[in-house]
Amino acid sequence: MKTTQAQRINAYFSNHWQAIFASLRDFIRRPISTGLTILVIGIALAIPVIFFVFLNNVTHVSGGFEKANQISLYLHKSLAENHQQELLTYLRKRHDIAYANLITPSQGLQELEQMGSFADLTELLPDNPLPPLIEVHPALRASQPASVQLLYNELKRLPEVDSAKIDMQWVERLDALVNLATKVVDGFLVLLAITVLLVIGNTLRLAVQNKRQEIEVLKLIGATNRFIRRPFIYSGLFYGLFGALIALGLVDVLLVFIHKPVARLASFYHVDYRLIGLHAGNVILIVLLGLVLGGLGASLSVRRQIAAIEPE
Amino acid sequence: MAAGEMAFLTGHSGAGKSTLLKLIALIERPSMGQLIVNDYDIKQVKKRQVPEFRRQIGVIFQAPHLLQERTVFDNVALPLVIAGVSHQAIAKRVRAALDMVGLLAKEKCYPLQLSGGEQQRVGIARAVVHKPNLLLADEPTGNLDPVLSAEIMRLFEQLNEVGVTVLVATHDLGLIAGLRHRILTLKRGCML
Repeated sequence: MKTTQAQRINAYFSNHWQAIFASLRDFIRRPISTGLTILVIGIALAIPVIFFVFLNNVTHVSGGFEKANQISLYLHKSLAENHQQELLTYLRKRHDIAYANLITPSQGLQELEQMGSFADLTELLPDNPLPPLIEVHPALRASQPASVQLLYNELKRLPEVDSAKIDMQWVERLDALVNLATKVVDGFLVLLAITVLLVIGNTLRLAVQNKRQEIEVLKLIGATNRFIRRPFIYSGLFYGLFGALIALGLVDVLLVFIHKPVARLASFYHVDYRLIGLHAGNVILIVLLGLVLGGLGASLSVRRQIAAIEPE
Repeated sequence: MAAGEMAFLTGHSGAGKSTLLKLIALIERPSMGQLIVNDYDIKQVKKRQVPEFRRQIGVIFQAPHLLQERTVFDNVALPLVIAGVSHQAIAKRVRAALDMVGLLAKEKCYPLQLSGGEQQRVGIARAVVHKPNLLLADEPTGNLDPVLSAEIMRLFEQLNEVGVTVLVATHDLGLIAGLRHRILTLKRGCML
């Protein structure tokens, strides 16, 4: 049988189409078991994705706290206003300081009153107990915890400064926690990826067993292992693809569910926080992960099994 | 056996008819001796050459070994699909093969909708659709009544007339007595 190159390429693609249809037909023929398998894969993939979304939001929120990396300089109460201004000008000129703000005692009192609970403060207090305050924001290149610490040490020793406060310890702790959680999520991802591999591998192992007779017939009429394997590999790819789509759906549903509680929580902190979902890059990555796991799981379990089947 | 010949292989059960056919189709491997099929020395054929080798022969069994989930047309088309023949060519040749066995009208049926004789004929169509130069049949009429059996034998003779080498294993001596072809008899694994 002589075939031209074009015919052979044509036939190659139609072979693949047939394998795709055959694997989808098998899915439809067993909707319940197929659906359950896809659901298991979807849940297994959704768990690390949910952790990822959670962490992503936490890092985003904690990123918003970067400005907490500020140094508060409480000046001597007796310091004259022109000296306060001089210090402010000096600080603003420094290269390791992004900007500095002076909050006079009366401004500070006003701010307190605006926060609500301290309404009639001015009437209660005979005179303003607040010292003048300068908020110093380190420049970006000096915003590493260590350099902020150095800056803090230096500013603390200025003669005009009564006391200084640096509020970054908890930011560091949060940072460390997020780092740890990221590692844990990576571990989860590996374990659950193995789960998906095993589920797909085992499902297809059973599928091969069920089709043993068909495979024998195919071998008898000269089918190569590759030809016989093809529909199973496509089944694996579809399991992975549909599982990934289910996972994305589950994550979406979860985000909708927790949207309100998060908004409520954020309202306590007077912020309008919107949950960060998955962006297109994440979605593509998850779908690719599903496809890779599906194809790999199928190939690993089916290859040897099909090679071992021989007609009798 | 010469190319283009038709012969019957007979002998008692257990004499080795099936084994010889299985050896030829590379389903079993010889432990000793020499077997040359289509210019291939069976012992020299490597594992990954087996599919290629099998595509050059057609095999028919006592049971038709059809895929129940596919139509008659798809069953017959399988050897061509495997060989990578184009769509149009497949349709043409499958219909020609079905026409030859008289089942063109049933191409859309599933094997279970057909009678035993019809299924066997589908199996024959599948075995010859890719125009093999050697056709092996192992008790192809074992499950069929005499009328159907004679019909099947006529089919084999037709194929032989267009140049296919045909080797039919059967213990039904009555069936082949009236046909003028060489009869090879096996007894305890030895050719008589």
